[in-house]
Amino acid sequence: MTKRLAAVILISQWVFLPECALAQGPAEEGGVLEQGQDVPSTQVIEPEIDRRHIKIPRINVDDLEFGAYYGVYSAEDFGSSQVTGLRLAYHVTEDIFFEGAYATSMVSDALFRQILPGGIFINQEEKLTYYSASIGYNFFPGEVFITKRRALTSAVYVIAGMGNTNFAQEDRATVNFGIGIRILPTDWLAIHIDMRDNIFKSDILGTSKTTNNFELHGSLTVYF
Amino acid sequence: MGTFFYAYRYSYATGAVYLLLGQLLMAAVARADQTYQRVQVVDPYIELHTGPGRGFPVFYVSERGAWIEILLRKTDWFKVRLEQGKEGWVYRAQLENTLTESGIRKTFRDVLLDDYFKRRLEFGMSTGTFEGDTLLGFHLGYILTPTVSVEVAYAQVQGVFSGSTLYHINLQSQPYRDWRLAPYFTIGAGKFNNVPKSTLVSAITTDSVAANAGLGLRYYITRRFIARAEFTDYIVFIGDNRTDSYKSLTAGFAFFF
Repeated sequence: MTKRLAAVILISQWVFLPECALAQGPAEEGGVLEQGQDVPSTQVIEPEIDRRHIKIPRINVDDLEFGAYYGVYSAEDFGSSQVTGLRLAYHVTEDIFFEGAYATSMVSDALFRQILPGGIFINQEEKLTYYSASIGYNFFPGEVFITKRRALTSAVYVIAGMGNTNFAQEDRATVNFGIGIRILPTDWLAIHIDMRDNIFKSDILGTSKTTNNFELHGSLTVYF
Repeated sequence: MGTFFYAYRYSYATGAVYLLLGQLLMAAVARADQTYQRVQVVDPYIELHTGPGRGFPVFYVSERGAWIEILLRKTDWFKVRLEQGKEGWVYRAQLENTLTESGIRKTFRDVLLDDYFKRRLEFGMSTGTFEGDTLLGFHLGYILTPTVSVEVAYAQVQGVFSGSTLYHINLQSQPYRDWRLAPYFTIGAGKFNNVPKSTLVSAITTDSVAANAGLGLRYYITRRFIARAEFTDYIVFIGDNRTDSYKSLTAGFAFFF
């Protein structure tokens, strides 16, 4: 027991002694300085030049694109309706970009109600929302000449992806592909015109079938 | 015009985002009067393209020694302004030999394998099969220590008879993190929600706690891209004395920051 106690004391001395020495250090040094034997009391060289403070401005990177779109969504068997959506794109290279989109539309079964008074849906208008994650490829980069002296950067791209469509209160795995054109009036603003086909399986009309739901929309996006 | 406003009635969120979009526009306009980084050309010449891409024509060539201002970057292209005011797009590789105002070489290096090993955030999506049905998943990971990361995952499964949603928080261990092709292991817990199709009669909705364990492979492709493949076993605690096991096999890609 005493051996162990002795060991603890010894270890604590090992740990704390250097600390004490450090604490006394500057005071001793001060004592030496006060005697002033070797250290001059005034500074010999007075620096006249200020240190240059170089602050390099950051380069603005505009690889993200965010915007909204508005257009027509044609739900198979149910006619077409307006669609509004949001899109966020990340441009990885000059060729490839990733895009996430979320949109909403109201689909009506009014045509069916003319012959089937009960209709197909619970309500005459059902909400349709979808989200998608897609990869795009700019395969026709170029310029659009709007006047003799003014050209705007543009690109035609193909895009394909996966996502989900919630239609008539049910989720449906959705594959989308399409083609679009992007025109940039300035470096930070873009106008898109997009055609998409949203493909999902639907059994609303009794049998399960693959439906093609075409979409045409125009969007306005901002690079940041 | 009436129909136009009608479209907004059911999407207040969209309205809010239009507002945000407007603010972004204003921010973009406001940054017009900022100072830019100046560099000096060291290469024999640099080529100015009309747009940020190799397909755009070269319209001007600036010689060695010229001072240029870097206005903007889009992917690997830099919009520069010459002293006489000409503006054009230069490829990253041509700027690699430029000097800053303090005479130091400016680096415009690419994203390298080293950046991949030092990554902090990873975001990706994947698709595959979940007991024969299609699964679409998203994940966001944060690397805590060199070998451990935490991941939030969301997946949606669309089956013929029902649809499921999975939310999970996973701990991921990557023992060989400096390998380009490296295995990883995950364990996690979350929620499993299964909603039968409304056309089915007297089917029951399941909303249970679930645990998962997985084994995956991660491969660094190039730049910011990662490919991933994963096998996961989900154990769903449906009742006091009933658990179900579902297996999924997915593949996808991710990018890191």
